[in-house]
Amino acid sequence: MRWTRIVVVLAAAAGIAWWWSGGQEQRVRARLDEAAAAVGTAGGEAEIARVTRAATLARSLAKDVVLVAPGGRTLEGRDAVLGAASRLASASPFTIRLADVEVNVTDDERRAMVTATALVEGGSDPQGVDGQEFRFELRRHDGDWLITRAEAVAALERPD
Amino acid sequence: MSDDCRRRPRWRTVLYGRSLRRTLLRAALAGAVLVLVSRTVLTPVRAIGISMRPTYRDGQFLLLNRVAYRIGAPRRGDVVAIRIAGGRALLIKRVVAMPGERVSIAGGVIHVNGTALDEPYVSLSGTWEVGATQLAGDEYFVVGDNRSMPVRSHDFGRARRDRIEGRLVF
Repeated sequence: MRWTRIVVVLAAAAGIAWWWSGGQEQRVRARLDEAAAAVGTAGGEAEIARVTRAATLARSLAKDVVLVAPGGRTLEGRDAVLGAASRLASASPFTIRLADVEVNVTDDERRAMVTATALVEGGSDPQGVDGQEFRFELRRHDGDWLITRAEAVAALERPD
Repeated sequence: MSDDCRRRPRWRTVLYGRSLRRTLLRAALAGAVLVLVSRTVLTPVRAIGISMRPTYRDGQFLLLNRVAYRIGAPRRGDVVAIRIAGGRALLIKRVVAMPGERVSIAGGVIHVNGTALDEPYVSLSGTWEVGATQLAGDEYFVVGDNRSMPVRSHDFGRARRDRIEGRLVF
């Protein structure tokens, strides 16, 4: 009985240590998941839902964020990215989720580099799923992780 | 037959053999081997989309041979899986041109070093026009079998060797 208790306490301590050591990485993942979900649109949504999504996206982005979209088009600044996202909202419904997320947090826990595949479901092809690799950079500001750069990486390079 | 076996109810023997502990151990070992093999040797994948029609249909389950290119290089005509960021989401395409070759598409027909490529697997043809591109020493040109799609909505192009995860097998 005594041994059982010791094992349970040790397991709980190990679990807490594991959670604590991976804390920042988990916060980075949560921030990116939240931003990805906020870009997707259910289509025909109410104004309040659209505003809530935009607010969620806005608090995920740094003011000087840079977005390099597939094809190389670059958007600079939070307002430009939010404007592009709101134009997407008027298109067909689609969802974005991230897969194969690999997070590297710097030793001082102030910056994070992430690679991930954005899986886009719906949109112009309701049956299909599009995969696009992205590289993200995030900066920790007042304890909060903000996306400073999102760059699309081509798995296949199309001829000009 | 031992007394122990005679006393044990038959349903129990059928369910987990003579020893529950050994059966669980064997099941765990078999599970571990299965996970290891499926991650490193033969990975089940599901085709999504129509770019490889009619060879593979949307939703079809396939097997990815991950060791195929550890002992050899991709060959023309191979259907390969190309890594996007990690290993979960992959692009499935066919290799049509090899490193160092020059490739173009005229009237939907692929030309490699100026010669039209014979592609018996293409039955959904189109009228794509793509200018010539020269492949580097570590690049392959890959494209899906469904050429009846609009060229803008079809992912194709140069793939670096290190992005090719393996060959698709049935």
